[in-house]
Amino acid sequence: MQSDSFPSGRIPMVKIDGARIRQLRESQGLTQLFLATSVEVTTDTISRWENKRYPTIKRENAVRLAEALEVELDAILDHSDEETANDENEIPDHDQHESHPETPSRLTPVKKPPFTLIVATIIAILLAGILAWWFFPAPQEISVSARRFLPAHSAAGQPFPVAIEVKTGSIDPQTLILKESLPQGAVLLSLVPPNSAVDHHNSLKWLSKVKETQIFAYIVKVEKSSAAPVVFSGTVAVHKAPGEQLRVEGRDSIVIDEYHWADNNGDGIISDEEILTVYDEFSEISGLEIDIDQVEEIWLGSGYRWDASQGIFVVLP
Amino acid sequence: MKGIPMMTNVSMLKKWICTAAVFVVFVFLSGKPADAADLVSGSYTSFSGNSIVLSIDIQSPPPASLIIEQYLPPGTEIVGSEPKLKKYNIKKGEAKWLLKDVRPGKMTVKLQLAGKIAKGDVRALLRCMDPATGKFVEKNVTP
Repeated sequence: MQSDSFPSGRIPMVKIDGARIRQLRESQGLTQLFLATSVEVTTDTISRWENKRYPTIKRENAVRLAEALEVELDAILDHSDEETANDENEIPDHDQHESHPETPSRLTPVKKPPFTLIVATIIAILLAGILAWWFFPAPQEISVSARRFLPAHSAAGQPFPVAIEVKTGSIDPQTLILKESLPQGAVLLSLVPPNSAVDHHNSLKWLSKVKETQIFAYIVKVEKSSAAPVVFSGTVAVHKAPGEQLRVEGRDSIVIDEYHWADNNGDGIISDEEILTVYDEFSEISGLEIDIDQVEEIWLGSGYRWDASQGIFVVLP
Repeated sequence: MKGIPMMTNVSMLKKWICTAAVFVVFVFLSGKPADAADLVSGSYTSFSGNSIVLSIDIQSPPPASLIIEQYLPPGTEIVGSEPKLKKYNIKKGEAKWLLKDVRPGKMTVKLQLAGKIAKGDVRALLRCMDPATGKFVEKNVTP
């Protein structure tokens, strides 16, 4: 195997296959900047890795690299040489001095330290502890959650909004990757913020630094109506917890029928509660082009009906 | 003889525990956020004659939007409103405002009527979503 855990504080290293990494990155249309941001290294480092100038890297970085490339760690390792090397340039030189207590050559009387010295030492330790606590607070525990807001239904070919609220539970910005797979037949119309990677399989990918909470949103339409619900799925991965991917919670399916997406209970009217929900969930997402005028128009009328032949909602006076 | 000071200590301890408990409850209650029902509230400054003035109090953080529904005697004619009405059903006497960009504090809505109405003929409903819980809140306002 290419990886080892080194005892006594040595950092586990792995030997990577630079050419394979470059090939994987280019095949997915990813930039060196994307990988650099995911792994939290510079683009120069990515370039050096790809050009085999540093074939041996920290295992932790290799895990993040594999995650960003969406492959197993083994897929980016160099198997030509089975021995694991320790690149002395990269490994911090942890001293492993053994303690050699001096053997007293003769017994000498032990002087008891004065009481004031003991008290002063305790106070100094306490003060140092308080200062350390004040200036170097314990790292915040990251508890990431992601919830999708998806309407219960929409009419065929009519745009509807989807929002994903990501909470990190930390006031420090956290780098995360949010992926959302659109169902077959779904057409993406707009999204905020712009996604970070090229889409090959109708999936969206955002790489973002999130402080506490961020909304990722998009507008899609599904052309054909079907009795079966149309299913969305997504995951979120945080840089500081490599290997862990959380599923996006919340509603994950929508029925394509003859109701407006804002008509939550499908009773043919948009009630006060329904229009307030629209404003509550979507009004603060700047840049998302929701047809709020149509929602208001239906709300002001006595109801609506779906004209399938023309593909429009007819507002009832 | 030795029991008396011990009893005094125990009663003192109980007293301290009670005081601390009262203090903790007080701190807990004073720090509790406003109930969802208190997120918005309203009262009538004028509710008879040909002028209706409704004063609305909005807590922080405010809701994203607010619907005000004012009920008048059916057939009542409205000649002016501030802010502008979104919808009025004269047959039912139901006037509606949909307010966006709601800010915390006090706001006033006014209706100028063509004729006079009697006391007690008006009531209003305030509707919004609580930003803290995402729940629908409805508040009744009567003179």
